[in-house]
Amino acid sequence: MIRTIFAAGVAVTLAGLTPAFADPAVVMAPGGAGGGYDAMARLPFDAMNKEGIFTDGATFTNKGGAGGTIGLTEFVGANQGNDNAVMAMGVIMVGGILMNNSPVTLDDVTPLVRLTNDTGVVAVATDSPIQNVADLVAAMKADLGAVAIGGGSAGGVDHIVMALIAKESGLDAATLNYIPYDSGAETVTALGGGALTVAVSGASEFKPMADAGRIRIIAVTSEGRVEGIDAPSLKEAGLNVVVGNWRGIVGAPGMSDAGKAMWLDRFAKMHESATWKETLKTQGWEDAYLSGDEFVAFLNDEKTRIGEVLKDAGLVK
Amino acid sequence: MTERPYWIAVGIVGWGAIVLYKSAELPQFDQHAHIGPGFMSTAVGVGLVVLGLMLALQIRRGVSFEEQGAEDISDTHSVSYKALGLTALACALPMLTMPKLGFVITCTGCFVLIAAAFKSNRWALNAVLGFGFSLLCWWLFSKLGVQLGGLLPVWGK
Amino acid sequence: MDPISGLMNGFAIALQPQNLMWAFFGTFMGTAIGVLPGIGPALTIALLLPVTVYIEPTAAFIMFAGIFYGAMYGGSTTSILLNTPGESGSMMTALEGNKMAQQGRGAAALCTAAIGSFVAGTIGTLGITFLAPPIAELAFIFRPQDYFALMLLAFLSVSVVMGSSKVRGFIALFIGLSLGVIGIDKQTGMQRLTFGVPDLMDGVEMTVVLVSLFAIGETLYVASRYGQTKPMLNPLSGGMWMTKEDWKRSWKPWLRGTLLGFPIGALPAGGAEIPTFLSYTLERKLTKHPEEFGHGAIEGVAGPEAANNAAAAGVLVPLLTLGLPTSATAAILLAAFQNYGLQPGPLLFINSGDLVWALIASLYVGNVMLLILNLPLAGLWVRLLFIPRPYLYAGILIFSLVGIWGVSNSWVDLAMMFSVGLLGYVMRVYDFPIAPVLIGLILGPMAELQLRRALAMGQGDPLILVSTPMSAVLVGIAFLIVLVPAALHWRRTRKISV
Repeated sequence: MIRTIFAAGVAVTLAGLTPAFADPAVVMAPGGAGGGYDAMARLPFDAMNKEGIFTDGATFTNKGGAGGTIGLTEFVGANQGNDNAVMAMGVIMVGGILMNNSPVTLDDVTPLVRLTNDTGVVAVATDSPIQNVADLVAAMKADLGAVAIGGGSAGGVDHIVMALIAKESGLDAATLNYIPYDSGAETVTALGGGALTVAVSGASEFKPMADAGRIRIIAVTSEGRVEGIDAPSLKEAGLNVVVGNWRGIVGAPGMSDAGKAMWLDRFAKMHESATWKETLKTQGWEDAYLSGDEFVAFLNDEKTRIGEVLKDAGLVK
Repeated sequence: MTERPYWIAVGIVGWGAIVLYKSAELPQFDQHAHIGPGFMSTAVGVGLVVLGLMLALQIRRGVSFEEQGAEDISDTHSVSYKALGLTALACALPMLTMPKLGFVITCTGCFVLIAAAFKSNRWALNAVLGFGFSLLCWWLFSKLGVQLGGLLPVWGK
Repeated sequence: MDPISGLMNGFAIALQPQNLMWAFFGTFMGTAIGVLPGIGPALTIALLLPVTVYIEPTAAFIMFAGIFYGAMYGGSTTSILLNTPGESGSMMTALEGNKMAQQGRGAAALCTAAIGSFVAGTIGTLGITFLAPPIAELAFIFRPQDYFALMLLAFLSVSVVMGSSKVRGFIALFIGLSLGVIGIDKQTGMQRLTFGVPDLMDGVEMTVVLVSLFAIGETLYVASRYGQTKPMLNPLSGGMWMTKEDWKRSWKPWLRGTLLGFPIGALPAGGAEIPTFLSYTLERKLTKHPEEFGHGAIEGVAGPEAANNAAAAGVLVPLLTLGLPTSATAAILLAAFQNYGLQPGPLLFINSGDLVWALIASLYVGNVMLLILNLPLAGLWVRLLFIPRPYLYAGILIFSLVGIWGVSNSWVDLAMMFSVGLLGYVMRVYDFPIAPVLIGLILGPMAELQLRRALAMGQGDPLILVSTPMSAVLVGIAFLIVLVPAALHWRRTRKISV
């Protein structure tokens, strides 16, 4: 079924309806339709279109799998020097490249902007005896294997959160009973139904279900508390774990300086626009705008940090 | 005389061996589920080898292979290897020409080859028909947003 | 708003002339595109998604409802007439449907598929209207072991499509399973049998194998054995319509297919394939005409086709009530909702009740529209078979290429099309059944995933596989189906020898 999602992901916008002279952007979403990368690819272009910043339309390609590295590989292969091609990416791709030993890395593309951040949440079933982070750590210490942990792909940001929690609590992160799920929908039903002890996912994915009383959020992974979620941060709970699922946009390999400047200008304008602010609100994303060289520096730090985390957790040799 | 297609059994055992060989590189067991990434593929590889050997045994005993029925098949089941070759060529053509020459030219070629395989010898007419049909498909589906590539990719775009 | 008054409101909106027009347009487009081999409903909806940017939400969703059911139905047409299913859900339809078409009963097969789709779609929509919240709860109840037990049961459907030789049937199944293990192992992130090819990391594309085995394999086979003095069968020799006998044999499979399809479709990891496999198996076990199965039994078309459409309706349940997209089609519909700034879920009925009820009402309207559109067209579709063979098969190859090349732009997929097509040819020549390959490819990875999840949760204790009532019952049924006939057979042979 998941495979058909990728197949269906050829969902494409406006190609047939744009005027003949327009030059639509080529946009890669390295994840299935309806997922995080998909939204990160489409919504900025929706906003730019609505605000009149960039109205030539865009053709989207969804190519999920392997932490986004399959999409990355295809993007780099097909768009050498194409100033019109951009790709959504994020922290999961940084980890995915390491996990899969991808020959194509983020060094091959042109970083443009970081746009959003989605705080992670740690949640349990509503009727779970685990009330807080201390309970969770105690349960993990009692029998690590008995704590079935759900989340996104192996080595993804959710896995990193749990690995760090284990490490901070003095447990061996490599022996977590981590069960990866393809979609937030599957994770949340497995958690709500009691098949999983605990699950990690993005706040935007879990919050509606928590509000509906299906699951209970016991912690957030940001520095401090998050508005609208009644749970402490892991840091407040005594574990020095801060992880954000940030996402951004990179340009094609070998993008010209003019092309880079053009996109940075478009994203700067889009970031200021009312439509984008509205989008952030409806999607439940935090604004994490970081542009140009600052983003490059941040990306390099993140590569090192995540490399260390995955190695500590025994996920990367 | 009974046909004895041992090569099928050999192919199945061979594919099973490849699966087994590649599975051996993977851990068979896992700490919590006890079933590791290599477990399933090893099982499948073993199954293929065993089934291939069973098939070889059946072939030795002279089991008969009856062709399946389909529409438009002559009653005698007489095989035209020329037609088979032409059709196979049509199916292989996209591998050679699709990335460079693009969808329309590739499909025109496929159209002509398939038509020839079905004993339609009006080459010029078929080429025109095929080109028109391919162009129409390309235009229509590209408008709808299916990424079929440029009209002639080798001409830069 | 209670369901009845909500629905009445919905109908008031859906039956406005311009909305009826959208429903008609959607149904027509959905059917037309869904008919093409290699291009299934999810892709159809994805293709038509952009159009909605320009129309208001209500009209857009009414059109979607039409596309949704139209594309589901359209997929069955080529399965029946040309033995070239465009998506996995209509593969089981092709088994018996194409045999019926070969006997000149294509129109009857199309009719039973159309009416079955209508029945399933309507009952499914009724289910959405009145039972959505409790059905959605199934998503929370089902655990990995339950899924695994369900898949175990579905694997049994292989045994009924095995054909004349068990060894060859199992070989076909294991070829499918071996294709299924290719790709990154989801549990550990390790690469399995990818041979270092990036295009294989995500696994073998199911659509490519489906189209290659059926459409390409069939083209190769027919071309090589195409006689100029072929037996010219009139595709309409079996009449334009279903006979009384056909009706009698169809109505129960329609209902049973619906009952299987709707709840399984509503499960997050359910999908449309499993209910069609189960429905086919069930009809084959229950039929009074077992000798016709494999040679064009109408039950084998009516049941799976109803199951397929009911599963499609089931997918809407978790989407509308919980905001959970559980299939490709649902994910695209979710994207459409979000395009309009709507968030499906518990609050959707409260915040945008008018829209949701209009959508549900238009599902009914779309269904009726589909029936009106397709029953008269059944005879027309059959006339597809009057197209000169050279052009018909050339067209099939071109549409297959649209489906294969257009989806991924991957050279590896083209190579796969060629080699799997040849495999399909060899399998036809030496009488290997085709369907088990796909059953293995579809169910293998799903079953493995759920098995390993369940075992991980039970820390390797195999008893967890029967630890819930549902899994225990399903595994029990699976065993009974396998063991009882075997035991009876053993007793019979023993008595003879004594």
